[in-house]
Amino acid sequence: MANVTADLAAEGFAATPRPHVRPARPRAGRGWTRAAAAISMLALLPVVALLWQALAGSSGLWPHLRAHVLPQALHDTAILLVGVGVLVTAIGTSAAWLVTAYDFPGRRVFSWALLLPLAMPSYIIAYAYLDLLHPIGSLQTGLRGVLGYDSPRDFRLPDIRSMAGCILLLSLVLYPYVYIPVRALFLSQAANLIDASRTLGTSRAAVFRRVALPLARPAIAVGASLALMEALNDVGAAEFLGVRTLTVSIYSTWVTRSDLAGAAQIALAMLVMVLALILAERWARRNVRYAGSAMRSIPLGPRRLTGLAGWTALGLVALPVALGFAAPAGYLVHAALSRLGAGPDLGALWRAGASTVALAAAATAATVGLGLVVAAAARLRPGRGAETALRLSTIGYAMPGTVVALGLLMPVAAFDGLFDRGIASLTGTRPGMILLGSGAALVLAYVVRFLSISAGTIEAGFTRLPRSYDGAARSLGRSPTGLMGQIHLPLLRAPLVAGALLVFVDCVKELPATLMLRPLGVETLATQLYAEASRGTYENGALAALAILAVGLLPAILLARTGER
Amino acid sequence: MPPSAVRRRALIAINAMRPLLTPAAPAPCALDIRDLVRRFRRTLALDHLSLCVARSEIVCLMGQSGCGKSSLLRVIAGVDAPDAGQIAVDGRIVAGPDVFVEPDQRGVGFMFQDYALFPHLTVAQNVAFGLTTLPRDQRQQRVSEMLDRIGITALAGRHPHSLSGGEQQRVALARALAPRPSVLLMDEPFSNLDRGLRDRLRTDTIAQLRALGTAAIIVTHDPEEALSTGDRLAVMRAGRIVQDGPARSVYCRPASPFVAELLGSSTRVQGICQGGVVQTPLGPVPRPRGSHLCEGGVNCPENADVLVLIRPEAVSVDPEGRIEAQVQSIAFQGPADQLRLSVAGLGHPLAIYGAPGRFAVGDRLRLRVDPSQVICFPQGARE
Repeated sequence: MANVTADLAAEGFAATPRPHVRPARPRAGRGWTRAAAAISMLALLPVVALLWQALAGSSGLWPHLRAHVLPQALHDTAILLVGVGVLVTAIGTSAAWLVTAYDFPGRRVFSWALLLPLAMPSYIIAYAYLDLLHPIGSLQTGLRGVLGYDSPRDFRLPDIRSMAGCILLLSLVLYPYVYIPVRALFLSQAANLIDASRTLGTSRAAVFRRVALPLARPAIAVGASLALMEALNDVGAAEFLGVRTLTVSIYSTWVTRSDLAGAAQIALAMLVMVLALILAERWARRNVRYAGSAMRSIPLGPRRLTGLAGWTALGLVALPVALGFAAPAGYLVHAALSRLGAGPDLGALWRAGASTVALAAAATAATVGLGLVVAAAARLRPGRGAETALRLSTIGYAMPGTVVALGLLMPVAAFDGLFDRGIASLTGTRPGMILLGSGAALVLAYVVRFLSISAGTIEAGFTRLPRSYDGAARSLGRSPTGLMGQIHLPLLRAPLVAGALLVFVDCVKELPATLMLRPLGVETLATQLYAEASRGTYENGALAALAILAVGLLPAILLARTGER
Repeated sequence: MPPSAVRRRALIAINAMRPLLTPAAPAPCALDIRDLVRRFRRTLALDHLSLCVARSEIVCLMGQSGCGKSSLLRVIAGVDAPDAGQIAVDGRIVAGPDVFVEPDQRGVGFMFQDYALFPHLTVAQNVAFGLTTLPRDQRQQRVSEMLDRIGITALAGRHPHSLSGGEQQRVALARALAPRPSVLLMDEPFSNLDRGLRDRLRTDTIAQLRALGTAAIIVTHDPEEALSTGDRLAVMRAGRIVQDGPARSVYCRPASPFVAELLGSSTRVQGICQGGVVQTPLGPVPRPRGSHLCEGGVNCPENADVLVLIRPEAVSVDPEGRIEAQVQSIAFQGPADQLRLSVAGLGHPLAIYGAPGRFAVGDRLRLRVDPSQVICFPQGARE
């Protein structure tokens, strides 16, 4: 009997043998990862379709493109990106620092007025300045009158139709991408650290260089990369100012040569550049994780600047607003007024406005919802899968609207054809092009293009929520979805609103994809403006341009109010 | 029937009955951890760690930062998953080869170092957060009971950002205890508090754990806290528990020089075994207790090198003492002065305590060493 007991102990009741098999893994939250993976596949769809197109296409034009178009385009694009990158960082960061660390006349107004150029699409500012700065336009003529010259041959401003002009104009409308995140960071994070460094004997000016700037590095990286992707995306301004960037080359290869395969091939060359940009952004954000402390954050006490210093600061922050918004907007108002006298077709404008808002609102809702899923998956189930999905889903923003549209056109048309034939064979009625005809294809393009804005903003919001919240909520009985709904969502309201506003503005402003994918007969404000501008009837386009500005201003104002809280 | 067949049948029968047998013999451990392994890319955060926390037992887990304390808590709570090993809570396996119970189903409470109070919820809502399974009226009742118990009823409607550090700590405790977890994990729960407040809150917290009969693991890196808190002290190093027992015995009989020096300051002295005693520059240390080497003096092979650790309290100033020393420096520490003395034959100063204000730099003293408080290790012992 004793023998039996001993054996029982040995075989049955003894401590379980060392388990060398890997224990079961947590299952909760896998749905989020799968959804994120599906979303990233959606974002990859245009790239895959483009690859397919580029590989399948056997146009004889490729040697020509490679010899004559590509080197020039790569060269111009590189210069443009470096110039815009430096300028938006300089303007955005210094403006954010000025309005956060100093108090001067007009500070409160300009802390939100600096957002205004966000409402100004690059193609509008380019059109406006072309007319404004025309050598025989009223501005230069007036300037010559003041200076005592007679003709443009004696005196004229440097031609805006140049690389320098393009860099300047793009930077003037793109710097808010840097200004917004950097200012938000200065407001929420900087105070304690800056106070600490002040007590270490660092002067306020040196604090900027030694504390604020390094602290702002990840925010600058995010903002600058967004701005650069916008610069890459731009078609209107570069084309108009005579800069032959990759995007312009793609566009003209496709439109003037009708060479889809060639356009796809240039687009792939550009994606390599984009990849480098994304890697540079990741590198600039390396090793940075903000976990908001449980302690209260004390707002930075701005230092009062009086006299000349105050007016200088005011001038510095007023300059980008004046050049990037006030001057072109003033021109548009002037042009619109002179056009209004001639009795415009307001009905068309209303219809275009309504379809613009409807498309942008639908796209914003979808984009923020999907962006939330992607960012949440990376938070709820950290790991390679979710991380990869997050990175892949942001690829769309790096692709110009033309490229996204190009990439989506083929699969969407194929789906529409299948759907049409399938329904027709079942019911006998033909539904027609269900995705292209309803505008769903365009909304899809917006989602692909702008998913990185919502996902990025929400991801940044997540990094400010301590991970201990997650652990606490889970150990207090919440599933990942419960944690999401009861803790994350309420605390992410600000980034969600910010992301939605940024996406909405961009949808309203988006031109190339809208041109290609809008349902037949539907005009948006941007396409209406483009049509007028390509006819050379600037005044007619001014009303639509003003309407875009107005729609874009609304979110900019709300954004400013969210920032003020 | 051959004996082996009998045995097999008995086994089968008993195995079949096991589910019935288990409740009759209550699991001795509220928390039973066996051979737990957690790997991060290069490091082994948990290295086949085993630990049993009995019902209502409070274990203090001490270790330097990066030794795996927090990883252990995260794996126990289920916020992280182990790479190998098994965890049972109240006899129920919550992590093992075929099992992973999600953290929300484990019944393990977790109190974070930063308290992790949800900023958008009031104190009462925070405390009610874990009471999902209770009906509404009982939930209210439990919340007010918890608030009352911890003494924070007045804070019920406030938001966390308006609370002081001590108040936040109390709210976090109330929230973690409200669902009545059988085990509460506390990650440096007092480290964010001022000293006086810390002592009071620690006493209060322990009292609450005792009153509710909650088993707990309290993680700390503060030796004083580790020694004074809880029923048992587990010292952790590089993913393993290197010593485990009542605080007093861990302090007096440390398993390694590492544990000894982690828990309190001491002066290292070289010794050598001669004639059953350890000869040191401070004189012979006869039959010192406190280590496997010196215990009973039998395990001291002739001429073996010995590492002797002398705690400050093991040395007293005694005019009859045999050791001569001179005061090099004095640091006032409140209840006592810490003296650093130079001793002939000792390359570095010897630290001892002295009555405050009684000695001056340069004083010549005679010392006596209490051999019962001296700790010895064989030279080259695993640090």
